[in-house]
Amino acid sequence: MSSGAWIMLFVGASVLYGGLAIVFVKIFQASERKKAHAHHHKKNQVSPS
Amino acid sequence: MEDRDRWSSRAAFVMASIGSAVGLGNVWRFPYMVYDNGGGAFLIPYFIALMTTGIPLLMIEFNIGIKMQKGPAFALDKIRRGAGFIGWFALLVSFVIVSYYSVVISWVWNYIYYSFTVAWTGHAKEFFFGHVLDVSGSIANTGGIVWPVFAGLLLTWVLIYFIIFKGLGVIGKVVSWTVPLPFILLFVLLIRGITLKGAVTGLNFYLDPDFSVLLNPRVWLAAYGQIFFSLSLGFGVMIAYASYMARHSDISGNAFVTALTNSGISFFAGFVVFSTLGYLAQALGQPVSEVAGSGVGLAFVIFPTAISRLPGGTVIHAIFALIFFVTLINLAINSAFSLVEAIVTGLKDIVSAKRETITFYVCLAGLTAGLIFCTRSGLYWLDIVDHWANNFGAIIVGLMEAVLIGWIYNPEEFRADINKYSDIHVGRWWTVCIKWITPIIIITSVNLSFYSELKSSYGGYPQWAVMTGGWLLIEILFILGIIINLRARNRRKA
Repeated sequence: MSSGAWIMLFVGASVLYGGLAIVFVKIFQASERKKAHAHHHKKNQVSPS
Repeated sequence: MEDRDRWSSRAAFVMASIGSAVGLGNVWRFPYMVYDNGGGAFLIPYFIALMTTGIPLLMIEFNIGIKMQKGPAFALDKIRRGAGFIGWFALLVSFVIVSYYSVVISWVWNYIYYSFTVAWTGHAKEFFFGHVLDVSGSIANTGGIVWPVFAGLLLTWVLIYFIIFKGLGVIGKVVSWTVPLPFILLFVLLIRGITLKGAVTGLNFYLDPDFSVLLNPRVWLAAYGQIFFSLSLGFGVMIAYASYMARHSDISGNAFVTALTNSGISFFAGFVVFSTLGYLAQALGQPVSEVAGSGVGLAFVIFPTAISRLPGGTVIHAIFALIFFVTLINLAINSAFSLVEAIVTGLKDIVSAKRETITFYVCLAGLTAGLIFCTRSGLYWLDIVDHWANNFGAIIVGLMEAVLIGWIYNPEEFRADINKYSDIHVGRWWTVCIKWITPIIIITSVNLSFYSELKSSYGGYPQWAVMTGGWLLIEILFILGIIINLRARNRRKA
Protein backbone atom coordinates (compact mmCIF):
# COMPACT_ATOMS: atom_id res chain seq x y z
CA MET A 1 0.00 0.00 0.00
CA SER A 2 1.17 3.57 -0.63
CA SER A 3 2.41 5.60 2.32
CA GLY A 4 -0.54 8.00 1.96
CA ALA A 5 -2.98 5.09 2.18
CA TRP A 6 -1.17 3.73 5.27
CA ILE A 7 -1.34 7.14 6.97
CA MET A 8 -5.07 7.49 6.29
CA LEU A 9 -5.64 3.92 7.47
CA PHE A 10 -3.91 4.84 10.71
CA VAL A 11 -5.82 8.14 11.04
CA GLY A 12 -9.20 6.53 10.31
CA ALA A 13 -8.64 3.60 12.63
CA SER A 14 -7.35 5.79 15.49
CA VAL A 15 -10.24 8.26 15.29
CA LEU A 16 -12.99 5.67 14.97
CA TYR A 17 -11.80 2.72 17.02
CA GLY A 18 -9.68 4.85 19.38
CA GLY A 19 -12.64 7.19 19.88
CA LEU A 20 -14.89 4.23 20.60
CA ALA A 21 -12.38 2.88 23.14
CA ILE A 22 -12.23 6.27 24.93
CA VAL A 23 -16.04 6.45 25.07
CA PHE A 24 -16.22 2.95 26.57
CA VAL A 25 -13.59 3.85 29.20
CA LYS A 26 -15.57 6.98 30.12
CA ILE A 27 -18.82 5.00 30.38
CA PHE A 28 -17.07 2.39 32.55
CA GLN A 29 -15.55 5.08 34.81
CA ALA A 30 -18.95 6.75 35.19
CA SER A 31 -20.62 3.47 36.12
CA GLU A 32 -17.88 2.77 38.71
CA ARG A 33 -18.42 6.25 40.16
CA LYS A 34 -22.17 5.66 40.36
CA LYS A 35 -21.61 2.30 42.09
CA ALA A 36 -19.21 3.83 44.62
CA HIS A 37 -21.65 6.68 45.27
CA ALA A 38 -24.53 4.25 45.80
CA HIS A 39 -22.40 2.14 48.16
CA HIS A 40 -21.32 5.20 50.14
CA HIS A 41 -24.92 6.40 50.38
CA LYS A 42 -26.08 2.97 51.60
CA LYS A 43 -23.34 2.81 54.24
CA ASN A 44 -24.31 6.18 55.69
CA GLN A 45 -27.98 5.32 56.01
CA VAL A 46 -29.18 4.97 59.64
CA SER A 47 -31.36 2.01 60.32
CA PRO A 48 -34.85 3.07 61.48
CA SER A 49 -34.79 0.34 64.14
CA MET B 1 -47.57 5.31 36.22
CA GLU B 2 -47.46 4.75 32.47
CA ASP B 3 -47.09 1.12 31.46
CA ARG B 4 -44.59 1.58 28.63
CA ASP B 5 -42.64 -1.25 27.07
CA ARG B 6 -38.91 -1.10 27.96
CA TRP B 7 -35.63 -2.32 26.50
CA SER B 8 -34.26 -5.20 28.56
CA SER B 9 -30.96 -3.35 28.98
CA ARG B 10 -28.95 -0.38 27.81
CA ALA B 11 -26.99 -2.76 25.58
CA ALA B 12 -30.20 -3.89 23.83
CA PHE B 13 -31.09 -0.27 23.05
CA VAL B 14 -27.60 0.54 21.76
CA MET B 15 -27.53 -2.66 19.68
CA ALA B 16 -30.91 -1.83 18.13
CA SER B 17 -29.78 1.75 17.39
CA ILE B 18 -26.59 0.47 15.78
CA GLY B 19 -28.65 -2.06 13.83
CA SER B 20 -30.86 0.71 12.54
CA ALA B 21 -27.96 2.98 11.60
CA VAL B 22 -25.80 0.30 9.99
CA GLY B 23 -27.42 -0.71 6.73
CA LEU B 24 -26.69 -1.36 3.10
CA GLY B 25 -25.30 2.17 2.72
CA ASN B 26 -22.34 1.28 4.94
CA VAL B 27 -21.25 -1.30 2.39
CA TRP B 28 -22.44 0.05 -0.91
CA ARG B 29 -22.29 3.83 -0.41
CA PHE B 30 -19.55 4.82 2.03
CA PRO B 31 -16.55 3.09 0.37
CA TYR B 32 -17.38 4.56 -3.02
CA MET B 33 -17.96 8.02 -1.48
CA VAL B 34 -14.47 7.88 0.00
CA TYR B 35 -12.92 6.76 -3.28
CA ASP B 36 -14.90 9.32 -5.30
CA ASN B 37 -14.18 12.28 -3.00
CA GLY B 38 -10.44 12.37 -2.60
CA GLY B 39 -9.75 8.93 -1.10
CA GLY B 40 -8.44 9.06 2.48
CA ALA B 41 -8.64 12.87 2.45
CA PHE B 42 -12.45 12.50 2.53
CA LEU B 43 -12.13 11.13 6.07
CA ILE B 44 -11.27 14.63 7.34
CA PRO B 45 -14.57 16.31 6.32
CA TYR B 46 -16.31 13.05 7.24
CA PHE B 47 -15.05 13.12 10.85
CA ILE B 48 -15.84 16.82 11.16
CA ALA B 49 -19.37 16.14 9.85
CA LEU B 50 -19.72 13.28 12.32
CA MET B 51 -18.84 15.53 15.26
CA THR B 52 -20.70 18.66 14.15
CA THR B 53 -23.94 17.22 12.75
CA GLY B 54 -24.23 13.45 13.13
CA ILE B 55 -23.62 13.08 16.85
CA PRO B 56 -25.36 16.35 17.90
CA LEU B 57 -28.52 15.44 15.93
CA LEU B 58 -28.44 11.90 17.27
CA MET B 59 -28.34 13.34 20.79
CA ILE B 60 -31.38 15.49 19.95
CA GLU B 61 -33.35 12.48 18.76
CA PHE B 62 -32.33 10.32 21.75
CA ASN B 63 -33.17 13.10 24.19
CA ILE B 64 -36.56 13.86 22.62
CA GLY B 65 -37.53 10.18 22.90
CA ILE B 66 -36.21 9.72 26.44
CA LYS B 67 -37.57 13.02 27.76
CA MET B 68 -41.05 12.76 26.24
CA GLN B 69 -41.56 8.96 26.42
CA LYS B 70 -43.65 9.09 23.26
CA GLY B 71 -43.36 8.22 19.58
CA PRO B 72 -41.75 10.79 17.23
CA ALA B 73 -44.90 12.80 16.44
CA PHE B 74 -46.30 13.17 19.96
CA ALA B 75 -42.84 13.71 21.41
CA LEU B 76 -42.16 16.63 19.03
CA ASP B 77 -45.64 18.01 19.68
CA LYS B 78 -44.87 17.98 23.39
CA ILE B 79 -41.63 19.88 22.76
CA ARG B 80 -43.57 22.58 20.93
CA ARG B 81 -47.30 22.58 20.22
CA GLY B 82 -47.80 22.09 16.48
CA ALA B 83 -44.35 20.58 15.84
CA GLY B 84 -45.87 17.09 15.75
CA PHE B 85 -46.30 17.38 11.99
CA ILE B 86 -42.49 17.01 11.69
CA GLY B 87 -42.79 13.61 13.35
CA TRP B 88 -45.68 12.50 11.14
CA PHE B 89 -43.82 13.67 8.05
CA ALA B 90 -40.77 11.68 9.25
CA LEU B 91 -42.92 8.57 9.74
CA LEU B 92 -44.55 8.93 6.33
CA VAL B 93 -41.11 9.28 4.73
CA SER B 94 -40.03 6.19 6.68
CA PHE B 95 -43.03 4.30 5.35
CA VAL B 96 -42.13 5.20 1.76
CA ILE B 97 -38.50 4.25 2.34
CA VAL B 98 -39.27 0.89 3.93
CA SER B 99 -41.73 0.11 1.11
CA TYR B 100 -38.86 0.10 -1.42
CA TYR B 101 -36.08 -0.93 0.96
CA SER B 102 -38.00 -4.16 1.57
CA VAL B 103 -37.93 -4.76 -2.21
CA VAL B 104 -34.13 -4.43 -2.18
CA ILE B 105 -34.12 -7.02 0.63
CA SER B 106 -36.25 -9.19 -1.64
CA TRP B 107 -33.56 -9.00 -4.33
CA VAL B 108 -31.05 -10.16 -1.73
CA TRP B 109 -33.29 -13.16 -0.86
CA ASN B 110 -33.36 -14.01 -4.55
CA TYR B 111 -29.58 -13.79 -4.68
CA ILE B 112 -29.26 -16.04 -1.64
CA TYR B 113 -31.26 -18.61 -3.60
CA TYR B 114 -29.10 -18.14 -6.72
CA SER B 115 -25.91 -18.25 -4.64
CA PHE B 116 -26.15 -22.04 -4.29
CA THR B 117 -25.42 -22.41 -8.00
CA VAL B 118 -23.69 -19.02 -8.48
CA ALA B 119 -26.19 -18.61 -11.29
CA TRP B 120 -24.86 -15.22 -12.46
CA THR B 121 -21.41 -16.55 -13.42
CA GLY B 122 -20.23 -15.01 -16.68
CA HIS B 123 -23.17 -12.64 -17.14
CA ALA B 124 -23.79 -10.83 -13.81
CA LYS B 125 -25.17 -7.63 -15.32
CA GLU B 126 -27.59 -9.29 -17.71
CA PHE B 127 -28.56 -11.73 -14.94
CA PHE B 128 -29.52 -8.97 -12.51
CA PHE B 129 -31.34 -6.59 -14.85
CA GLY B 130 -32.68 -9.16 -17.29
CA HIS B 131 -33.29 -12.33 -15.29
CA VAL B 132 -33.87 -11.23 -11.67
CA LEU B 133 -35.60 -7.87 -12.20
CA ASP B 134 -36.75 -8.42 -15.79
CA VAL B 135 -36.52 -4.64 -16.24
CA SER B 136 -38.81 -3.15 -18.87
CA GLY B 137 -37.54 -0.79 -21.55
CA SER B 138 -39.05 2.35 -20.01
CA ILE B 139 -40.61 3.62 -16.80
CA ALA B 140 -43.98 3.94 -18.54
CA ASN B 141 -44.04 0.22 -19.30
CA THR B 142 -44.96 -1.33 -15.93
CA GLY B 143 -45.09 -4.79 -17.46
CA GLY B 144 -46.71 -6.60 -14.51
CA ILE B 145 -45.37 -8.07 -11.27
CA VAL B 146 -42.08 -9.99 -11.24
CA TRP B 147 -43.20 -12.89 -9.06
CA PRO B 148 -39.88 -14.05 -7.57
CA VAL B 149 -39.33 -10.46 -6.38
CA PHE B 150 -42.83 -10.43 -4.91
CA ALA B 151 -42.12 -13.73 -3.12
CA GLY B 152 -39.01 -12.22 -1.54
CA LEU B 153 -41.00 -9.13 -0.59
CA LEU B 154 -43.66 -11.25 1.10
CA LEU B 155 -40.98 -13.15 3.01
CA THR B 156 -39.42 -9.85 4.13
CA TRP B 157 -42.69 -8.45 5.46
CA VAL B 158 -43.60 -11.70 7.24
CA LEU B 159 -40.18 -11.59 8.90
CA ILE B 160 -40.58 -7.93 9.87
CA TYR B 161 -44.01 -8.68 11.33
CA PHE B 162 -42.73 -11.55 13.47
CA ILE B 163 -39.75 -9.52 14.69
CA ILE B 164 -41.74 -6.54 15.90
CA PHE B 165 -45.31 -7.63 16.66
CA LYS B 166 -44.48 -8.78 20.19
CA GLY B 167 -42.50 -5.71 21.11
CA LEU B 168 -39.06 -4.94 22.39
CA GLY B 169 -38.32 -8.33 23.99
CA VAL B 170 -38.09 -10.04 20.60
CA ILE B 171 -36.39 -7.05 18.93
CA GLY B 172 -33.72 -7.06 21.65
CA LYS B 173 -33.07 -10.79 21.10
CA VAL B 174 -33.02 -10.47 17.31
CA VAL B 175 -30.51 -7.59 17.29
CA SER B 176 -28.20 -9.46 19.66
CA TRP B 177 -27.65 -11.81 16.68
CA THR B 178 -28.25 -9.71 13.60
CA VAL B 179 -25.95 -6.84 14.62
CA PRO B 180 -22.73 -8.76 15.44
CA LEU B 181 -23.19 -11.40 12.72
CA PRO B 182 -22.60 -9.14 9.69
CA PHE B 183 -19.48 -7.80 11.37
CA ILE B 184 -18.11 -11.33 11.74
CA LEU B 185 -19.04 -12.16 8.14
CA LEU B 186 -17.43 -8.94 6.89
CA PHE B 187 -14.30 -9.99 8.74
CA VAL B 188 -14.29 -13.31 6.84
CA LEU B 189 -14.73 -11.41 3.55
CA LEU B 190 -11.94 -9.03 4.58
CA ILE B 191 -9.49 -11.87 5.18
CA ARG B 192 -10.39 -13.34 1.78
CA GLY B 193 -10.24 -9.90 0.14
CA ILE B 194 -6.85 -8.72 1.40
CA THR B 195 -5.21 -12.05 0.60
CA LEU B 196 -6.22 -11.77 -3.07
CA LYS B 197 -3.84 -10.71 -5.80
CA GLY B 198 -4.34 -7.03 -6.66
CA ALA B 199 -6.00 -6.21 -3.31
CA VAL B 200 -3.35 -3.59 -2.50
CA THR B 201 -4.11 -1.69 -5.70
CA GLY B 202 -7.75 -1.55 -4.67
CA LEU B 203 -6.87 -0.34 -1.16
CA ASN B 204 -4.67 2.39 -2.63
CA PHE B 205 -7.66 3.57 -4.68
CA TYR B 206 -9.76 3.55 -1.50
CA LEU B 207 -7.40 5.44 0.81
CA ASP B 208 -4.68 7.26 -1.13
CA PRO B 209 -5.45 10.87 -0.17
CA ASP B 210 -5.88 13.79 -2.53
CA PHE B 211 -5.89 16.73 -0.13
CA SER B 212 -6.77 19.26 -2.84
CA VAL B 213 -10.42 18.13 -2.54
CA LEU B 214 -10.61 19.78 0.88
CA LEU B 215 -11.04 23.09 -0.94
CA ASN B 216 -14.05 21.77 -2.84
CA PRO B 217 -17.34 22.61 -1.03
CA ARG B 218 -19.16 19.74 -2.76
CA VAL B 219 -16.86 17.24 -1.02
CA TRP B 220 -17.78 18.76 2.34
CA LEU B 221 -21.47 18.57 1.50
CA ALA B 222 -21.02 14.95 0.40
CA ALA B 223 -19.44 14.19 3.79
CA TYR B 224 -22.33 15.81 5.68
CA GLY B 225 -24.83 14.00 3.46
CA GLN B 226 -23.16 10.65 4.06
CA ILE B 227 -23.18 11.16 7.84
CA PHE B 228 -26.80 12.26 7.79
CA PHE B 229 -28.14 9.35 5.72
CA SER B 230 -26.01 6.78 7.44
CA LEU B 231 -27.18 7.43 11.00
CA SER B 232 -30.94 6.90 10.36
CA LEU B 233 -31.52 10.55 11.27
CA GLY B 234 -34.78 12.24 10.34
CA PHE B 235 -36.78 9.00 10.14
CA GLY B 236 -38.16 9.10 13.68
CA VAL B 237 -36.50 5.76 14.41
CA MET B 238 -34.04 7.02 17.01
CA ILE B 239 -36.78 8.99 18.80
CA ALA B 240 -39.02 5.90 18.84
CA TYR B 241 -36.26 3.58 20.08
CA ALA B 242 -35.16 6.08 22.76
CA SER B 243 -38.75 6.50 23.98
CA TYR B 244 -38.53 2.95 25.36
CA MET B 245 -35.62 3.89 27.64
CA ALA B 246 -36.25 5.09 31.19
CA ARG B 247 -36.15 8.87 31.83
CA HIS B 248 -32.86 8.77 33.72
CA SER B 249 -30.95 7.13 30.84
CA ASP B 250 -27.63 8.15 29.37
CA ILE B 251 -27.85 10.07 26.09
CA SER B 252 -24.44 11.29 24.97
CA GLY B 253 -22.55 8.04 25.67
CA ASN B 254 -25.12 6.03 23.71
CA ALA B 255 -24.99 8.54 20.84
CA PHE B 256 -21.19 8.38 20.67
CA VAL B 257 -21.17 4.57 20.73
CA THR B 258 -23.89 4.31 18.04
CA ALA B 259 -22.32 6.87 15.73
CA LEU B 260 -18.72 5.71 16.08
CA THR B 261 -19.65 2.03 15.64
CA ASN B 262 -21.65 2.91 12.54
CA SER B 263 -18.73 4.83 11.04
CA GLY B 264 -16.28 2.14 12.17
CA ILE B 265 -18.25 -0.52 10.27
CA SER B 266 -18.38 1.72 7.17
CA PHE B 267 -14.61 2.23 7.29
CA PHE B 268 -14.09 -1.50 7.76
CA ALA B 269 -16.47 -2.38 4.91
CA GLY B 270 -14.37 -0.17 2.62
CA PHE B 271 -11.47 -2.59 2.98
CA VAL B 272 -13.70 -5.52 2.06
CA VAL B 273 -15.11 -3.76 -0.99
CA PHE B 274 -11.89 -2.24 -2.35
CA SER B 275 -9.63 -5.23 -1.75
CA THR B 276 -12.12 -7.30 -3.76
CA LEU B 277 -12.42 -4.60 -6.44
CA GLY B 278 -8.62 -4.53 -6.68
CA TYR B 279 -8.67 -8.26 -7.34
CA LEU B 280 -11.45 -7.95 -9.91
CA ALA B 281 -9.61 -5.15 -11.74
CA GLN B 282 -6.49 -7.27 -11.83
CA ALA B 283 -8.44 -10.33 -13.06
CA LEU B 284 -10.13 -8.31 -15.82
CA GLY B 285 -6.96 -6.44 -16.71
CA GLN B 286 -8.64 -3.08 -16.13
CA PRO B 287 -7.87 -0.17 -13.77
CA VAL B 288 -9.81 -0.12 -10.47
CA SER B 289 -11.57 3.06 -11.60
CA GLU B 290 -13.23 1.02 -14.37
CA VAL B 291 -14.70 -1.60 -12.04
CA ALA B 292 -15.47 0.62 -9.01
CA GLY B 293 -19.12 1.35 -8.38
CA SER B 294 -21.69 1.88 -5.69
CA GLY B 295 -25.28 1.09 -4.78
CA VAL B 296 -27.29 -1.58 -6.52
CA GLY B 297 -24.61 -2.04 -9.19
CA LEU B 298 -21.94 -2.83 -6.60
CA ALA B 299 -24.05 -5.27 -4.60
CA PHE B 300 -25.74 -7.16 -7.41
CA VAL B 301 -23.35 -6.88 -10.35
CA ILE B 302 -19.78 -5.93 -9.43
CA PHE B 303 -19.37 -7.91 -6.21
CA PRO B 304 -21.09 -11.05 -7.58
CA THR B 305 -18.80 -10.84 -10.63
CA ALA B 306 -15.77 -10.68 -8.33
CA ILE B 307 -17.06 -13.63 -6.31
CA SER B 308 -17.57 -15.74 -9.43
CA ARG B 309 -13.93 -15.05 -10.35
CA LEU B 310 -12.43 -15.99 -6.99
CA PRO B 311 -9.80 -18.74 -6.96
CA GLY B 312 -11.47 -22.13 -6.39
CA GLY B 313 -14.50 -23.86 -7.81
CA THR B 314 -18.24 -23.35 -7.64
CA VAL B 315 -18.45 -24.53 -4.02
CA ILE B 316 -16.02 -21.84 -2.87
CA HIS B 317 -17.86 -19.24 -4.95
CA ALA B 318 -21.19 -20.35 -3.49
CA ILE B 319 -19.84 -20.12 0.07
CA PHE B 320 -18.53 -16.57 -0.40
CA ALA B 321 -21.67 -15.52 -2.26
CA LEU B 322 -23.77 -16.80 0.65
CA ILE B 323 -21.55 -15.00 3.17
CA PHE B 324 -21.88 -11.75 1.21
CA PHE B 325 -25.65 -11.87 0.74
CA VAL B 326 -26.35 -13.09 4.29
CA THR B 327 -24.32 -10.08 5.46
CA LEU B 328 -26.50 -7.80 3.33
CA ILE B 329 -29.71 -9.39 4.64
CA ASN B 330 -28.64 -8.86 8.24
CA LEU B 331 -27.58 -5.27 7.62
CA ALA B 332 -30.78 -4.44 5.78
CA ILE B 333 -33.36 -6.20 7.94
CA ASN B 334 -32.29 -4.32 11.10
CA SER B 335 -32.76 -1.01 9.35
CA ALA B 336 -36.05 -2.10 7.75
CA PHE B 337 -37.76 -3.24 10.94
CA SER B 338 -36.52 -0.17 12.81
CA LEU B 339 -38.42 2.01 10.32
CA VAL B 340 -41.56 -0.09 10.80
CA GLU B 341 -41.11 -0.02 14.58
CA ALA B 342 -40.97 3.80 14.47
CA ILE B 343 -44.27 3.88 12.54
CA VAL B 344 -45.90 1.41 14.94
CA THR B 345 -44.68 3.41 17.96
CA GLY B 346 -46.07 6.62 16.42
CA LEU B 347 -49.44 5.03 15.65
CA LYS B 348 -49.71 3.44 19.09
CA ASP B 349 -49.85 6.95 20.52
CA ILE B 350 -53.09 7.74 18.68
CA VAL B 351 -54.74 4.35 18.08
CA SER B 352 -56.08 2.28 20.94
CA ALA B 353 -55.68 -1.02 19.05
CA LYS B 354 -53.24 -3.74 20.15
CA ARG B 355 -49.62 -3.61 19.01
CA GLU B 356 -50.15 -6.84 17.01
CA THR B 357 -53.05 -5.34 15.07
CA ILE B 358 -51.24 -2.07 14.29
CA THR B 359 -48.13 -3.98 13.21
CA PHE B 360 -50.19 -6.24 10.97
CA TYR B 361 -51.84 -3.35 9.14
CA VAL B 362 -48.59 -1.40 8.78
CA CYS B 363 -46.89 -4.48 7.31
CA LEU B 364 -49.83 -5.12 4.99
CA ALA B 365 -49.75 -1.49 3.83
CA GLY B 366 -45.97 -1.70 3.31
CA LEU B 367 -46.35 -4.88 1.28
CA THR B 368 -49.05 -3.29 -0.87
CA ALA B 369 -47.07 -0.08 -1.41
CA GLY B 370 -44.04 -2.18 -2.35
CA LEU B 371 -45.93 -3.78 -5.27
CA ILE B 372 -45.05 -0.88 -7.58
CA PHE B 373 -41.36 -1.64 -7.01
CA CYS B 374 -41.95 -5.33 -7.82
CA THR B 375 -43.06 -4.52 -11.34
CA ARG B 376 -40.76 -4.61 -14.36
CA SER B 377 -40.38 -0.82 -14.15
CA GLY B 378 -39.93 -1.03 -10.36
CA LEU B 379 -36.20 -0.25 -10.49
CA TYR B 380 -36.85 3.12 -12.16
CA TRP B 381 -39.49 4.08 -9.60
CA LEU B 382 -37.24 2.93 -6.79
CA ASP B 383 -34.47 5.16 -8.06
CA ILE B 384 -36.69 8.25 -8.24
CA VAL B 385 -38.48 7.72 -4.92
CA ASP B 386 -35.21 6.92 -3.13
CA HIS B 387 -33.62 10.11 -4.47
CA TRP B 388 -36.45 12.35 -3.28
CA ALA B 389 -37.19 10.60 0.02
CA ASN B 390 -33.56 11.03 1.06
CA ASN B 391 -32.65 14.39 -0.48
CA PHE B 392 -35.89 16.19 0.31
CA GLY B 393 -37.52 14.01 3.00
CA ALA B 394 -35.34 12.88 5.88
CA ILE B 395 -32.90 15.78 5.51
CA ILE B 396 -35.71 18.34 5.84
CA VAL B 397 -36.90 16.57 9.00
CA GLY B 398 -33.34 16.89 10.35
CA LEU B 399 -33.32 20.59 9.51
CA MET B 400 -36.67 21.15 11.23
CA GLU B 401 -35.50 19.26 14.32
CA ALA B 402 -32.32 21.37 14.53
CA VAL B 403 -34.27 24.63 14.08
CA LEU B 404 -36.91 23.52 16.60
CA ILE B 405 -34.36 22.79 19.31
CA GLY B 406 -31.77 25.44 18.39
CA TRP B 407 -34.03 28.39 17.75
CA ILE B 408 -37.54 27.75 19.09
CA TYR B 409 -36.89 25.62 22.17
CA ASN B 410 -34.09 26.71 24.51
CA PRO B 411 -30.94 24.86 23.31
CA GLU B 412 -29.07 25.44 26.58
CA GLU B 413 -31.95 23.90 28.55
CA PHE B 414 -31.94 21.00 26.12
CA ARG B 415 -28.19 20.55 26.56
CA ALA B 416 -28.65 20.55 30.34
CA ASP B 417 -31.23 17.77 29.85
CA ILE B 418 -28.75 15.76 27.80
CA ASN B 419 -26.08 16.16 30.48
CA LYS B 420 -28.39 15.38 33.41
CA TYR B 421 -27.93 11.61 33.34
CA SER B 422 -25.21 11.24 30.71
CA ASP B 423 -21.83 9.66 31.37
CA ILE B 424 -20.11 12.11 29.01
CA HIS B 425 -21.02 15.77 29.40
CA VAL B 426 -21.38 17.80 26.22
CA GLY B 427 -20.09 21.36 26.14
CA ARG B 428 -21.23 24.52 24.38
CA TRP B 429 -19.92 23.16 21.08
CA TRP B 430 -23.13 21.16 20.88
CA THR B 431 -25.27 24.32 20.94
CA VAL B 432 -23.14 25.92 18.21
CA CYS B 433 -23.50 22.79 16.05
CA ILE B 434 -27.28 22.64 16.44
CA LYS B 435 -27.94 26.36 16.15
CA TRP B 436 -25.59 27.21 13.31
CA ILE B 437 -23.59 24.48 11.62
CA THR B 438 -26.34 21.87 11.07
CA PRO B 439 -28.99 24.28 9.70
CA ILE B 440 -26.50 26.11 7.44
CA ILE B 441 -25.13 22.86 5.99
CA ILE B 442 -28.58 21.33 5.45
CA ILE B 443 -30.04 24.49 3.89
CA THR B 444 -27.05 24.74 1.52
CA SER B 445 -27.31 21.07 0.65
CA VAL B 446 -31.08 21.19 -0.01
CA ASN B 447 -30.68 24.33 -2.13
CA LEU B 448 -27.95 22.71 -4.22
CA SER B 449 -30.09 19.58 -4.72
CA PHE B 450 -33.05 21.78 -5.64
CA TYR B 451 -30.94 23.71 -8.13
CA SER B 452 -29.57 20.56 -9.76
CA GLU B 453 -33.11 19.12 -10.07
CA LEU B 454 -34.31 22.26 -11.81
CA LYS B 455 -31.30 22.33 -14.11
CA SER B 456 -31.87 18.87 -15.53
CA SER B 457 -34.38 16.07 -15.11
CA TYR B 458 -33.10 13.53 -12.57
CA GLY B 459 -31.60 10.42 -14.19
CA GLY B 460 -32.99 11.44 -17.58
CA TYR B 461 -36.45 10.19 -16.52
CA PRO B 462 -39.53 11.79 -18.15
CA GLN B 463 -40.87 14.87 -16.35
CA TRP B 464 -44.21 13.25 -15.45
CA ALA B 465 -42.39 10.42 -13.62
CA VAL B 466 -40.13 12.80 -11.70
CA MET B 467 -43.14 14.94 -10.79
CA THR B 468 -45.19 12.00 -9.49
CA GLY B 469 -42.51 9.89 -7.83
CA GLY B 470 -40.52 12.90 -6.63
CA TRP B 471 -42.02 16.33 -6.04
CA LEU B 472 -45.68 15.34 -5.75
CA LEU B 473 -44.90 12.48 -3.38
CA ILE B 474 -42.90 14.67 -1.00
CA GLU B 475 -45.53 17.41 -1.08
CA ILE B 476 -48.32 14.93 -0.37
CA LEU B 477 -46.37 13.44 2.55
CA PHE B 478 -45.74 16.91 3.98
CA ILE B 479 -49.40 17.94 3.76
CA LEU B 480 -50.50 14.56 5.13
CA GLY B 481 -48.13 15.10 8.06
CA ILE B 482 -49.88 18.37 8.91
CA ILE B 483 -53.38 16.87 8.52
CA ILE B 484 -52.60 13.78 10.62
CA ASN B 485 -51.10 15.98 13.33
CA LEU B 486 -54.25 18.11 13.53
CA ARG B 487 -56.51 15.06 13.63
CA ALA B 488 -54.30 13.33 16.18
CA ARG B 489 -54.47 16.36 18.46
CA ASN B 490 -58.27 16.47 18.21
CA ARG B 491 -58.38 12.76 18.99
CA ARG B 492 -56.16 13.28 22.02
CA LYS B 493 -58.41 16.12 23.23
CA ALA B 494 -61.49 13.92 22.78
